[in-house]
Amino acid sequence: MPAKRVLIVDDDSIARLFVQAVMENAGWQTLEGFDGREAVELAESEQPDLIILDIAMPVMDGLEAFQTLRKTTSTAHIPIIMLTGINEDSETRYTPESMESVFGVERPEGFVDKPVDADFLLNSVMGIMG
Amino acid sequence: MADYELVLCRPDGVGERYRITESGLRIGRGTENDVILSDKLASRRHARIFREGNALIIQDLDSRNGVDVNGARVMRAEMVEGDKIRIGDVVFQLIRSVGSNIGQSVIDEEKARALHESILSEGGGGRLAVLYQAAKLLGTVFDIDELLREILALIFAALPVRRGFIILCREGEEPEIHASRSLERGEQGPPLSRTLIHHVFTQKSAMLTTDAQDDSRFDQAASVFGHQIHSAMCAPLRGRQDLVGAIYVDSGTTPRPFTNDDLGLLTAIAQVVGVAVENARLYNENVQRERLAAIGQATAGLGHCVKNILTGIRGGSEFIDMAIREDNIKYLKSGWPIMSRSVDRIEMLVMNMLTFSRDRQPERSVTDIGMLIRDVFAGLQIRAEKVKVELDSSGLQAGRIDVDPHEIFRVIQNLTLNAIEACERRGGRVSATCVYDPEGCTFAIADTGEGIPAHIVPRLSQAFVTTKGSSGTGLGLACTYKIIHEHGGSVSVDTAVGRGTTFTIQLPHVGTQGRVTAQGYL
Repeated sequence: MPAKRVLIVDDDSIARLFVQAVMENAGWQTLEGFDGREAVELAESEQPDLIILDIAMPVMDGLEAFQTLRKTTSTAHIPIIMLTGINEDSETRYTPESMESVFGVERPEGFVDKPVDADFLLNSVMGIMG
Repeated sequence: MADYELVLCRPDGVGERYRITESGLRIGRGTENDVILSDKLASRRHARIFREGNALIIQDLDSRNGVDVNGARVMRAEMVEGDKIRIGDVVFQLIRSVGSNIGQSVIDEEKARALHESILSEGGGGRLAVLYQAAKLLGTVFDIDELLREILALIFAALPVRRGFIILCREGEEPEIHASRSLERGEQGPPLSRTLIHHVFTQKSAMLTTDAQDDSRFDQAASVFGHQIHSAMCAPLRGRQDLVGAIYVDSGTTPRPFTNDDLGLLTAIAQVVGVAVENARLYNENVQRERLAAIGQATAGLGHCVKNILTGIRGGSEFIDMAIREDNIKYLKSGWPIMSRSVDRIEMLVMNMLTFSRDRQPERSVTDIGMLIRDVFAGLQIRAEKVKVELDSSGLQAGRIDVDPHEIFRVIQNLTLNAIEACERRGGRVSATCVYDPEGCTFAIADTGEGIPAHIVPRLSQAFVTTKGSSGTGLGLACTYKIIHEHGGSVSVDTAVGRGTTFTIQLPHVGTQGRVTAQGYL
């Protein structure tokens, strides 16, 4: 069976490198994106099995990218893990609860708090992908 | 012997004339005098002018406030034609009578006015000149306490002051002395008049007292007058809204009184200083507020940046732990690039913080800018190759200029790193050019990357402005602008989103730094 492919989207190269390393060590093939716009473009063209999406990014942020991915037929089925952290505008921390109100019914499949804990991330991936 | 007369010089011209007869002239407030003065600085029996042989003598009759002849305080003096006599605020000139035609004057109206003005302003070089000097101080001295000291020195030069204090107050706080000066012996001299100051603070108007005993405005037991201060003045320092303090001066233990003109001058100075104090306070408050805001912004910006780096270090170290635990180099290969990138970033951050936080003069030495660019490119070659960015240093002219090589190296490093990052997503090209002309050196770092959004461009020189989201500190370009500014040079940027960015740096030769364009600082 070919390796599953994950699209990792984060504007911070160090954070991206880390998630990439975690996923590659768990046997995944990785694709990289730098912002929300690239997340949408790469998801459509590459059809990854999973998307790990940061929230705070330039050009198009993770929230907008999430909504666009869900609305787009070719990407609506791809499970998404949001990387949450401090909400810079309100200086409060995103929580799964606060995210629910932001995302409504169409919530992402997983939330992983930043800084990313490797085991927690892998557990979430296992939970979603089975 | 010739006839003499005393001519009263008034602010509006020539006043009464008093012929000096054989029996002389008695001057004072009392009605028994030949020259009756209404000036409150004059004593009842103030002075006497009389003939002694061929001489004409003026004698102070133990007056309270003294007699000045040609600006000098005298008890007894021989007078000659043209002498100027001052008693309180009253000025006379001694002139020779022309025959018996006493009605004919040898001084005209204009001369009298000028004389009155010059005598009353003696020692200060004219009141307007004093005010002009005070206004000039406001424009040149920015530290408020230093300004107050200078103002006090000016008052000492302009008025017969022995001691002076400038007191500042803020609402809800005790008034505090911010400048003091004394010609009296001893450390302090007599205490200043709290009564007078209190009066000025409560009445918010200027106040002059020439003698306590005559001054019904004060309680006789009041502080100052037990201390033999003969004359004191106090003028409020008024801002646009509030009283900000007061200037207090006294004649110490000398019997020299102040005049209403002295008070007028003090009040005028106080008005100018009051507004300056208020302005300085508002300015300081603004600076304080801006500084706090800047510190807040800096702390948040740095905190965010350091947190991201720490996350990287922690993540990287997890892999290295695993590599050690499982004796598997595969994990080391994952962890090390993360660690390495984090260390690079923290090094850059710290270097930029240091550059940004201190003001320094460049330590110049003869430098080949092209060589610096080649060094930077060589150091970043591997990093550029990884993200498919080509570094092109073919446009470098050789030459020499006196600059700080370490600082300019950092400028080139910051600009090149930015350029590589701008191309990182799709690969591209970073090229450098460098040319010399008689004015100095111009070099540019150009990339074919993403470009900078137009709304960010005007803010590039500010710290903590970044287009790189969470991976930028916003310090690199701020440092670049700062270093180039310190070299007297200029930075200009040409950018278009999707097309790329060119930063052009102009560095003048030492001694030709006048040509820094405002546009260069964005």
